[in-house]
Amino acid sequence: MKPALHTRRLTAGYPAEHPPKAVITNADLQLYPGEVTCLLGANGAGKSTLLRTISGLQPPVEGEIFIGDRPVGTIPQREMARLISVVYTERTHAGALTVEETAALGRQPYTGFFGRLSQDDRHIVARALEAVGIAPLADRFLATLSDGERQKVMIARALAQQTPVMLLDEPTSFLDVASRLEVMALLSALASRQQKAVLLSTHDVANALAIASRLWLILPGGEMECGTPSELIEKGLMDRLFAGRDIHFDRNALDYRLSPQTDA
Amino acid sequence: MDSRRPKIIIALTGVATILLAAACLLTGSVNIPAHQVWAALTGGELERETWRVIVLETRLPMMITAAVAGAALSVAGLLLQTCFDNPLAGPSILGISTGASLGVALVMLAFGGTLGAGWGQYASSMAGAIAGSAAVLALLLAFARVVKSGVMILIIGVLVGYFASSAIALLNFFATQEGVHSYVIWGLGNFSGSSLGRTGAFALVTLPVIGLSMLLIKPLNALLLGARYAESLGIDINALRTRLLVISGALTAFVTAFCGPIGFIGLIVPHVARILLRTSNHNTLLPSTALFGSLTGLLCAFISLLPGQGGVIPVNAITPIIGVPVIIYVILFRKRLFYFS
Repeated sequence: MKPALHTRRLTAGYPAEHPPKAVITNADLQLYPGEVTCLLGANGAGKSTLLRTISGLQPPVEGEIFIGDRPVGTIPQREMARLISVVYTERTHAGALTVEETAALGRQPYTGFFGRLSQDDRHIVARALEAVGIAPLADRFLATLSDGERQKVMIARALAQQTPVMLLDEPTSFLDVASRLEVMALLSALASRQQKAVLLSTHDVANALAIASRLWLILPGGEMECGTPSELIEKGLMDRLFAGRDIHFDRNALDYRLSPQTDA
Repeated sequence: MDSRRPKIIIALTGVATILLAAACLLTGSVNIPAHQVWAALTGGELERETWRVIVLETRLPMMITAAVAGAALSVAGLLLQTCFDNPLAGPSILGISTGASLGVALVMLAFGGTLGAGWGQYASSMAGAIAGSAAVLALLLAFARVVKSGVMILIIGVLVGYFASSAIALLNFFATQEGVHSYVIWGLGNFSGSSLGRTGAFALVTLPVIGLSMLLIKPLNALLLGARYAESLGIDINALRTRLLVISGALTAFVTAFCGPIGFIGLIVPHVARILLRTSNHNTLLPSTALFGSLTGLLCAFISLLPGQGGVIPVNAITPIIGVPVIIYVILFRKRLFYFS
């Protein structure tokens, strides 16, 4: 299978600083269509920096990123918007837009100068709302929705963008358990049904292991590992994710546990 | 949601705007019968020739100035509110009008007073206002590169405004009596006091810039989701911010040079439009804000004319009376209004 997106010896960080500061070094990563890939790493490990770099919003320090066969740096921003869609953590402030209007913003990379929607665009938006299960809310204002529903609207907007790759930066961190599980299950279903390559950064390791076909791990020091969950667990890499902290990876529970206190 | 609601409201606003425009033409220190005002406008026979001068050279320019200035300030306010994702952004709060005032003060005090004496001074005060607001905008843009928080930018705008005010105070201290006097009068805000020719020139430079803002409707809607989402939808966010600030700066500068620093209209009208139309979608919000702005400008102009023979009330004595309650309402009922949540 050909990856929808891959990197070659990617070093990401802050290229504008002197000397350029690297957060992630020498990463060879692959993202496949039809799969959910979860990006795991400690706070400040560089998850957001990596996502920004991959989506072409900031240049890499070194190395290359390819969408299909095309290097990311050579693709104009407007075209990038047809290849990668993004969902962020934070709430938007567009409370007086309706659900449909918000999802329709996903058509902007395709619409003309004034953003008028064609009949096709409207169908695509309607299908996106159905796919995430919020079609009945189409005429509601964002302000009247729960946080979980709002995040589903943002996912519908990303679907309406019709991109082969979808990046989500901690999309569930402000959601309650129910919404979090719903969103995770939704992403997993969308990936396989619509053959999207979905990359999702999260701190929710247990759920990530439950739905991810593949993991990208940012290890302390900025080294990255990419593989299936069982491979990475087998190699003991899950234990290295939080090396130096008082927790360990429990292979039976598939989650982290506090290490037992050793009495001095 | 009732889809006819916005259409009905816009139609009613249109009618109210026309009625107020007519009222402004019919009101003034001299009593002119309605049919004679009409005759003056259409070049018909008049009982007294002086009435033609009053209607064409005083009332008509004031009506046009109020409508255009109101629309310009309101559009500027809306662009700034979306740009900074902040309901309290506006041309006066961000220090843009004060910057423009400083530019005008420099020009006016350099001439030693008597503004409005000729086209030369008119053009130079316009240039001063543009330079002043451009300087403030350049500062805000530079800060916006470093400071990401919208609230902090707002505070910087307020501080820049204070700075410009203090520069104006210093200039006044060293200026001649007449210079200070004409600057103080100008600072009270005034829709009248200009000839038809100069008002036409003001409208001719201002209306195309309002038109330019309409070209940004699509990226403005993307910006409602925040800068990062807008970027991911293919929008060059720095170019967009620059365009928004240049357009709102130009509109503020034109109005400030022509009418003085008019407060509140730019801040409140976008809120009134959002509350009445129940949307933040710029497709309807931006054109209606321009319309509501004209209405508000005309309303202020009409109120300023009410003393009749007693003179004209300064515009800046009226705008806070309309504006402050609206702003307090917006702050108190922010949750219920929900368009910024």
